[in-house]
Amino acid sequence: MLPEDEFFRTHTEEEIWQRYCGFLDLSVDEFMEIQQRLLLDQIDLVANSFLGNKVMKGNKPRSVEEFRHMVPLTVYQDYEPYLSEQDEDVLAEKPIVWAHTSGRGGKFKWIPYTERFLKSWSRNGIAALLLSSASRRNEIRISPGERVLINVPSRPYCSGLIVFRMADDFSFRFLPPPKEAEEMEFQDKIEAAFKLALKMGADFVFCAISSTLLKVGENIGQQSNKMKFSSSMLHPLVISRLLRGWLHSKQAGRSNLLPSDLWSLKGIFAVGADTTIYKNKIKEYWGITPLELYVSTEVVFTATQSWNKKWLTFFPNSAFLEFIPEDEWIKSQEDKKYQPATVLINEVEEGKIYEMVMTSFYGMPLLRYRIGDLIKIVSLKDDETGCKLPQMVFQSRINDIIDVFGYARLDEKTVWQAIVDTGVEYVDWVFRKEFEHGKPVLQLYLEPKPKENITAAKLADLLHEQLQHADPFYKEVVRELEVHPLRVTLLTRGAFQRYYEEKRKAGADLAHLKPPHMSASDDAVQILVGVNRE
Amino acid sequence: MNFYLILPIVASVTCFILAFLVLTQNVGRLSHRLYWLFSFLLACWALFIFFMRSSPDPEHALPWERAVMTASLFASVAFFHFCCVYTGTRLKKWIVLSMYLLVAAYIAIAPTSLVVRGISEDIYGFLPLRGPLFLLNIGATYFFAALGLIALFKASRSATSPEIKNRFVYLAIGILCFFIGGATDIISIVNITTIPPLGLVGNILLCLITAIAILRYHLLDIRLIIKKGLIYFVTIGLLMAFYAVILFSISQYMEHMWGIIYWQNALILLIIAMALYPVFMKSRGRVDRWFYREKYNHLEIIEHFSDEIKSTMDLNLLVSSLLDVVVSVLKSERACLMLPDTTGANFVPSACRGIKLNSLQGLSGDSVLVLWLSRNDGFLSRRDIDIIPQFRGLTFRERAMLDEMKMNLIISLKKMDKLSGILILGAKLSEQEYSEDDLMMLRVVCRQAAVSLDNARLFKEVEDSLLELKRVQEQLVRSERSMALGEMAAGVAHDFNNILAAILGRAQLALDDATDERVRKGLKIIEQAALDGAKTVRRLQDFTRVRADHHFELVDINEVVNKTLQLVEPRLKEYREAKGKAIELNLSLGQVEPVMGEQGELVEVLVNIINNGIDAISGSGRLEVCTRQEGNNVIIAVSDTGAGIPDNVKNRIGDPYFSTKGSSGMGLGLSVAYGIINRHGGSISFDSTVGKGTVFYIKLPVVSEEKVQEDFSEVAEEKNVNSALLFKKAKILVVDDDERIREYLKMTLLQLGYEVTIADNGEQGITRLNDGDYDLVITDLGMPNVSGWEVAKAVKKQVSVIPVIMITGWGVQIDIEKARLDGVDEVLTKPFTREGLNECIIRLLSRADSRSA
Repeated sequence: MLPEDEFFRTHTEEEIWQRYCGFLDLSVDEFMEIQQRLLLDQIDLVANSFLGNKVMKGNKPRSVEEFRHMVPLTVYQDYEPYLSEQDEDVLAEKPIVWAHTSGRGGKFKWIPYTERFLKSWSRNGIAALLLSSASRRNEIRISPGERVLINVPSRPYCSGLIVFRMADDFSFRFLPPPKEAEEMEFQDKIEAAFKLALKMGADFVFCAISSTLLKVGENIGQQSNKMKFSSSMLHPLVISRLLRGWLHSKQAGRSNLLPSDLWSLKGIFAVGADTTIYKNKIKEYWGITPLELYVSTEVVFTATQSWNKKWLTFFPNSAFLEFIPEDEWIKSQEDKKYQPATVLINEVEEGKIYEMVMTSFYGMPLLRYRIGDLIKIVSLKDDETGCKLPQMVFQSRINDIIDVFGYARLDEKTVWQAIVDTGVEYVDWVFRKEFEHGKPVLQLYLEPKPKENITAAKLADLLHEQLQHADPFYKEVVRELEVHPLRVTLLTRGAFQRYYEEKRKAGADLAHLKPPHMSASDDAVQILVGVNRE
Repeated sequence: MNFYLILPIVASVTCFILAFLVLTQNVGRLSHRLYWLFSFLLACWALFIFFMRSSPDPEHALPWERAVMTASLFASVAFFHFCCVYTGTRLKKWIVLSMYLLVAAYIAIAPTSLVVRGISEDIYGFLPLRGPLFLLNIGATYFFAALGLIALFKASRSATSPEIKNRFVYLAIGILCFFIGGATDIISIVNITTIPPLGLVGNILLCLITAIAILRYHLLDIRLIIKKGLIYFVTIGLLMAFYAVILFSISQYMEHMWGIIYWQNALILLIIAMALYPVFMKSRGRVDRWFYREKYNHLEIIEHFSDEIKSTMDLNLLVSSLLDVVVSVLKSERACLMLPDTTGANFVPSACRGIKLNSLQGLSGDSVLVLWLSRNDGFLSRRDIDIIPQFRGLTFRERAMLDEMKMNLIISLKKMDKLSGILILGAKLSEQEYSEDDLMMLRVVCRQAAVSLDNARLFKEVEDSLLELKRVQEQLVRSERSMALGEMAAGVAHDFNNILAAILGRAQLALDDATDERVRKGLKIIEQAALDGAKTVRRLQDFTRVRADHHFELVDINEVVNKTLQLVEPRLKEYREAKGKAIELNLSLGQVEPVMGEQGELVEVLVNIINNGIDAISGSGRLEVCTRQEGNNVIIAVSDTGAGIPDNVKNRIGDPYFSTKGSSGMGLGLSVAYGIINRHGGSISFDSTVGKGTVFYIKLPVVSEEKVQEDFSEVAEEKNVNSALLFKKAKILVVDDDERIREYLKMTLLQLGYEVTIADNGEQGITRLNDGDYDLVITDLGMPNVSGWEVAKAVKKQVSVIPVIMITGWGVQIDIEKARLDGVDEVLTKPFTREGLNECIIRLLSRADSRSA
């Protein structure tokens, strides 16, 4: 019997909740005590390693204050010569596995995972699962044997590793089974998962990209309208599920099937930045609101939403957390040599934006590491859940911010939300700053869906309006300057598909098949628009 | 009413109680719900049997018999389903559905003759007449019960914890009893032998065994109050069984003798019950004692422990006593008591049982475990560590320590809300959980121990303070003695220096005039004798540690050690040759910062200590010299494997003229060493064990970076000045009340080419100072009315750049740094040579010249 299965079997619901989700009841002081203790242990662990010694410049801080004073802020480039070579001699502990994340420019970031680290985050994963299915405190709706529909990249991507690790500790039935899924293409993986889910049912969905859930929802609806059947649907269980689904949809007065008609899911947990944007749509299709997680390859589970699916709370044992206030961050962006000051979680302020700085625990190598994410502290507590810890939302990747006339800053989430709010049906999009007669303009490249008949000018106006609605700084700056900086280029049908094909042919990895939404390179834009441009 | 009827009632009540307890515990979990269903069905089954047996004729008994058959199948299916859920065995939904459909089908056909077609009467009462599906019903019942048993045995094999294993085993045994009992029912139905139907007995046994599993192995996590209820349930069950046997026998007898007359039966039973009352009370006491045996034992132990801790204030004894009590009573495999370290912040293992003390790490003060124990009362179980969110902050080392201890329980020892100790207990040898009674006992013992330990610690602190006081007192006496000796030596040295200064000065002047070789030779002897005399005086001052002069420079301690070793190498060689045995010399030089000092003197100290070490070794042995830096101090540790220093003479080490070497030692080496190190701002200490050896620790302060910088600038400045020395006929004012010295200085200075003015005392000196324009002042220190210090101050007040040289017989006792603050630029110790005097004058004039420039 797997260790966590045994725990579920032998403990009460309250105890299960305490073990996994009890961190939500910690006070800020208690949170800090855990952070401090694990940080000092981490310093002990890494001080004698080559990399630790190099980053800490031969110092061995004895307190949090000394640590923040003596150790400089780092970025991946500080570790890159050793980690990209997977040089294990420079590390404090021999890693069990190496994970990689998709860095920009087609270059992976490699991160070693120690055994201690892997042991520590499995519990956080189950906590996320619990919270995704709960609608109140102490509600335990999971038990060993849950069927989890997965839609994540394979190992050594972090989310692929999460699946394997969680399967070691808890009896999940992943659809498709992770080992089989590793051999499959992304599209095949999705198909296999849904075929299995039609037969076996599904309790949870774990996905790395929320928009996939949206697409699947749409596809099910379209296919059910066309009444397309395949031989795999002849299985009695599939037939009974489809029949049940059909009855549900009829009851709801709909002509098309939705995933929520087919499966009564307990929870969806998603790690993508698009979850916030699509959460309402996902709820519409799948019947439940997805739980957002803040996950990174560097420290894996960093924060999760609580059972009310409102804001995110940091896990106390994910990493030592520091926050660079926005003004300090701006200074450091302007002067790369500037060492910005940081604050700790007990010093953050409500409504402020911070850049995340993380020091990994459990003998992992990253110290005072600028992960490149901006978050916003939306509240210092959550009265609804009774959580007394600062609540955050993911704001943006630092690289995904586009400066607008030196006054406003548009991030991926804002632009994405604004595009969705225009109501335009699209396949995908790219947004970047370009120059027109020497003046900066904001250029959107968007591939509309075949049925969509909006014009570029109309979309530009709609988006301009939505952006003003979403971002007060943008509104102020365009009004002050009396400008309309938005330009829209509608890409022809299949532009993004062609991009994927071209990249795939060039041997690009899964993570680099898609152009980044924000500030895509000239080459990427050339591929998208070069062949056919409206 | 007879045994035949009472038994199903007892079984039914027993099962209903069990079902009720499970229902009140946690009905939210599927396993609990299924177990409740199972025990409820068993209760119904027994109740149906009662109704069947109490039926007046077979016709009335038939529906109840049919209900019995259906209930048994339903209970068996529920049991199997429970086993699967409880053991985590996955069941396909269609199987579950099929099982319950089967039950539903049997319920549907129960009223027909398909299972039970009728009732016959037998010696034990009514027996069912088999219908066509009867055997299928029985077979299905056994099949599902057997599957459940298999699931339990499988789970017990894979269980990691003995407690979990026992849960499965107890359940399986209970079901086995039920199984066997059921088998006797079937046998009686099919008339194979005349074994009475014991299905109900099996049923009762199942309930009792399940109750024990709940009590001892936390089956279904029944909580404390329910546990207590179960204890009484078991007690009553056992007593009722006892009564039931007696009642059965009597009823059988009475039935045989008088037929069934209920009121007579009741009367006789009442009389028997009254007669058996003492037996009932006695047996109840026994059962109570059986269940509360631990408590009785614990009370005895607590009493014994209280007596023991009252009689001692020895901390070690108390710690040992506490651990012995805990380990012997609770049969813990491992136990460790952690007490605060000397800082009071961290907790270190003080004593252990079942594990080596040095294999365990302590807990730092900021450990989440320590913080939690400081803030909360009570116990921490392994379960708590897994659950409480604060323990996410446990480091892997702490977790490893708890694993090493096979930690099962942590108890805080507190006095006045202050954490004074942490008791960590491993699993019990029996691999059972610690019971509520164990915890109660621990709570009482630990409360008592916390107070006693705290008292013992306070007592030890007082004891240590007294010892420290005594040591300080002894040191004070020694330093008083040393000071008296020093004062005497200083007075003698001063007088001798004055005399020697006159002799040396005059001899040098006479040497200038003398042309006769014989006379010159004689004068040189006098000069040398005076210089040797001066050295002797300095040594005297060294021994009495009154020297304060120093001409320190940056010294690398590792270089000092290396030089020392070169010096002692011949001694080691000599030892080897003389004794035919070797002393191994180990060197371990750490990275250390430089110190300010006189390299020669430091070498002398080390040579003295190493030589003592060599002297202390009688055969083969080992000497070890280590250097390391501790904070702002450099430590030189010299250890030997010699005879060691007996405790009774440890206090006298360092006293002048005290030696442990008998007549072969002068008793001055270490005294000199103490004096030198003292002047260097350091200290010497030692640890020694007779028969094992001695380690001497020399602690010297490292020089600060600013100081090094300062010294470099000073040297550079002097070098610059020396490179451009300007000689001129300087005007020097000499102030001295000693005519011999005054005259000698005048003549010497004139010979050296200076212009000299003489003053007989301090007052005159200050007056003369106002009259003339002097380049330098030389003043004696000790003069009547106005001392040399006052003269120096007056000089600096008037013209701050005029250098002042102080000459004195106390010379080496004056700290030049302090003297500079009082206006004295240089101190010359009597006796001094003409060259020394001139060199000093030139240096000061040059410096003054460069500063004024």
